[in-house]
This record gives sequence, structure tokens and C-alpha cells, in this order.
Amino acid sequence: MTGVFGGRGEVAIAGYAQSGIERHASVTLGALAVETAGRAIADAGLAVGDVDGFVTGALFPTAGAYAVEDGVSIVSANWLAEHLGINPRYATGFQGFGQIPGSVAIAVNAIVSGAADYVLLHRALHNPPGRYHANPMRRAGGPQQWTVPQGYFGPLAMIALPYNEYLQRYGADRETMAKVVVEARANGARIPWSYWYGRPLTVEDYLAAPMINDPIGRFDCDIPVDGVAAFVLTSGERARDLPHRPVYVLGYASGAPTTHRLPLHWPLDDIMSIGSETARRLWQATGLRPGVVDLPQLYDGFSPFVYFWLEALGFCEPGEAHLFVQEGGIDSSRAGALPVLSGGGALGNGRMHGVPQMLECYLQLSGRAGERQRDRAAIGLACHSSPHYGGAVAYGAQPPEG
Amino acid sequence: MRWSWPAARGAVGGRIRPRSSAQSALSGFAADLPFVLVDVELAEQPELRLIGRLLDGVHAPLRLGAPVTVAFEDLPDGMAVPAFVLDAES
Repeated sequence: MTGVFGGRGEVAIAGYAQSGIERHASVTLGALAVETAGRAIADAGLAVGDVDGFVTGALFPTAGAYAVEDGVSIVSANWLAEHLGINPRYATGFQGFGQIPGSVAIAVNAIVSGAADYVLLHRALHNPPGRYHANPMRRAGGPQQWTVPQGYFGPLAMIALPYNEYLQRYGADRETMAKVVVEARANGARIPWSYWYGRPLTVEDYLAAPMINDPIGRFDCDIPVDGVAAFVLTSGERARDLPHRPVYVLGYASGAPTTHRLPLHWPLDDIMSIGSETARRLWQATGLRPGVVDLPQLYDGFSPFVYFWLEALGFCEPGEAHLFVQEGGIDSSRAGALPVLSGGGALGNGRMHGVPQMLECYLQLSGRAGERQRDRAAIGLACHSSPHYGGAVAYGAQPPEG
Repeated sequence: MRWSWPAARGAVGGRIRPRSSAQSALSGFAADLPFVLVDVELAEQPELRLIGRLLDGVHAPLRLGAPVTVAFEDLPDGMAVPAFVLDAES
């Protein structure tokens, strides 16, 4: 057992489509998914009937009391296939955390094994009317009985505790985090489908925004949206005969928590120790190391995740990510900086989960980023969720040598 | 994972981790806002951590490692929920 991924570079992304990202779409999520999937298939130079695999991670990531209805608040792989009029050989959904790396892994494995030749991978995110996490619960049972009666509930409290731990332990401040969010919004403002298109953020606006769950303020959170993205994956060999330059999957890793905690209890030490193991697996699977990645796209659904990923992946020493940011280390307009949010991330696009990270890797490595195209984009990394629960996928503009 | 509470209330020491306060998505807590949540590592068992309310108010001075003692909040229907208070010497 070497830990090296046997399918390195065998599978590639051949095309994509991204819907407009809006607070509330004018059509139902299912209709938006069908339309977006159709555009992705056409973009890859294929016909709908060519697609024989469907993969997604369908989670509706709310802590609120909303109904989960396929085609309305989620879109499953089977629902999408059926509404495209396809009875696919392979259709499945990823169930864990880090839906994008999780579903990319499933799609890659399906193609390497021959379970499917052309996989449509999609992610559909819904913003329900009303507050995203609102919950009228009056009683808690099961594991929640140990947290909810204390008032500990939902992802905001989940991230506020380890973030405050980071701030206090390392002497970091909110003025520095403002740079993370301003960077995400500056890049998102240049992306036509982004919810924040044309609307960058200033440090002053960031600091003046209401505190939601101390020390998490409004703009530390990605904004809930309706939106769908779809990608077509196939073998590298088949992808080379399609219209666009293939972007190769070099490997992936997902976290594997080993500490026993109550729901959404994420101490900083858990995030970092288990997150480092996620990174170790990633470097082992791909044969890469931090120094060769020129386009690391870090997850930023809550801004502190950017610090956590910078340190877990080894781009910064533990406790030093905030200093790196302070010194302009992630300013993508600066030569020599790490462009970790060049695609805008979730803070700069809206709550599209790991989609902006994957999409930026695809667009830059395929040379399709238009006026945002970067000179150096050969190896990309698309992260999702927390380093200890989520995962990351490595992409290459070329298949690995040897 | 299970843990058992010591028989005597107030016997658990602990060290405060960070706090969190302000809004809650749980409508049942609307009247209690803002409140302070702390992540406490038990002195008796390192790495065993639990989250509870800090009863010293939102302006209490907090720092990593501050010692706390367990307290209980009485709720209706005879329920009591474990919470924490800062030790005097902190």
C-alpha cells in the first residue's frame, strides 16, 4: 500500500456550465439544474445521450427546519438523469462532508473502473425563503440533547468557537481577516455569474457589518443562494478528442475524523491535527507538495477556513496564516503571492459550497478564464469544507509524467 | 461517546476555551440573547471537552485557559442544564 492514487491523470474535466447565482432564482432548482446540465454537456461537445453517469453530493446544508424535496430544495443524481431523459448506467450521490471532492472522487473512480464513460457531476444549492438556519425546535433528543439546550446550535456557533480560539491563541485580529474577505469579494466582483458581480467590499464595510456570532460577522459568512454548476468528466484519452483542453484529476483526499465529538463541535486542535492528516494523504496520493501548486483554491464558506487550510496544507506554519495574509500573501493581484481566492470562493460568489474552487481550477488550467486568465496555472487544488471533515482535489493542466 | 457527571454538583473543574455569543437560529433562545458559550476541557480528563453556557454575563473577561466550575441552570419542568461560572481567582 503506497497511498499513491492509481488513477492519477487518467480522468479529466471536459466541459462545464455555471448558472447565474441569485438570492432566489426565478425558476425551481430542478429546472435550473436541467438547463445547466444541458449547457455543460454541449460545452463538452457531447450530446445528452452520450452521458452515462451522474454524480452529485445533494446535501441541503441548512440547520433549519426545511423540507428536503428532490427537484426543489435538492437535486439528486437520479432526479437530474430522469429529467434529462436518460436512464444512466451509473448514478449515485456522495453522503459525507466536502461534497465536491467527495463526488469528484466517485466520478473519477467510476470512469477509471469503466462503470461510466461520460459523467455529469453537478451541484445544486438552494436558498429557502426566510432565515437559512431558522429552527423552531423546542426539544432536542439524541446527541443534540447535549448541545442544543445550552444554546449551541448550527454552523455559526460551530465556527465561532475555533475561530475565537485561533484569534486568542495566535493574537490575530479581525482587521487581518478583513483582507481575506476583501480579496474574495474583489475577485468575485469580476465574475459575471457571481451574486457579488460588480460589488467589491471595503475593509470598512467588513468591520462595520453586524456581529452574528462573536467573532463571526456578517461578511465572514457566504451568502445563501440558488445556483447550479455542472461539469463533464471523462477519460483523459476521450477528453483529448473533445473541443476544450482537458484538465486532469491528479488525485484527491478526504478527512477522516478520529476524535469523538458532539454534533458540530469542532475544536481548533481537531481541525488542525486531523486536517494535517488530510493534507498528508493528499500529497501522498498525488505525489505533489505545496511548493508546486500554483493555484491553491482554499475553501472559504466561513472566512476562518482560509487560515485553517493555509496551515493544514503546509503553505504556512501553524498560527502564522494571519501574518501571511497581513503581509499580502494571498493578494492575487501581486506577483509571487498565493492566489488562494482568485476564483472568488464562496465569499465572493455565494454559497456554492466547493464549486467556485473547482471551477477556478478548471477555468485557469484549461485556459478558459478569459480576462481573468493567469500566466501561471499548471497545478491547482480545490478544497472544500473544513480540513478535518472535507477534502481536496488536485488538478493538472497536463497529465502526470511517467 | 458517553460521560458521567460527578455526583456532587460543582465538583467539575475546567478550563475555558473560546466564547461565542450573539444570535441564535433557535427561536426558543430569542429572549436569552446575547449569551456566552464556552468550550471547556475537563481538568480531570484532558481532551474531554464540552460546551456550555457561561453564567457570568456577556461582559465577563475571558481568556484561554481560565478556570471555571460547573453550575446548573434550572429550566421548567424540573430540568437542569449544566453550565459554567468563572472561578473567582481568574
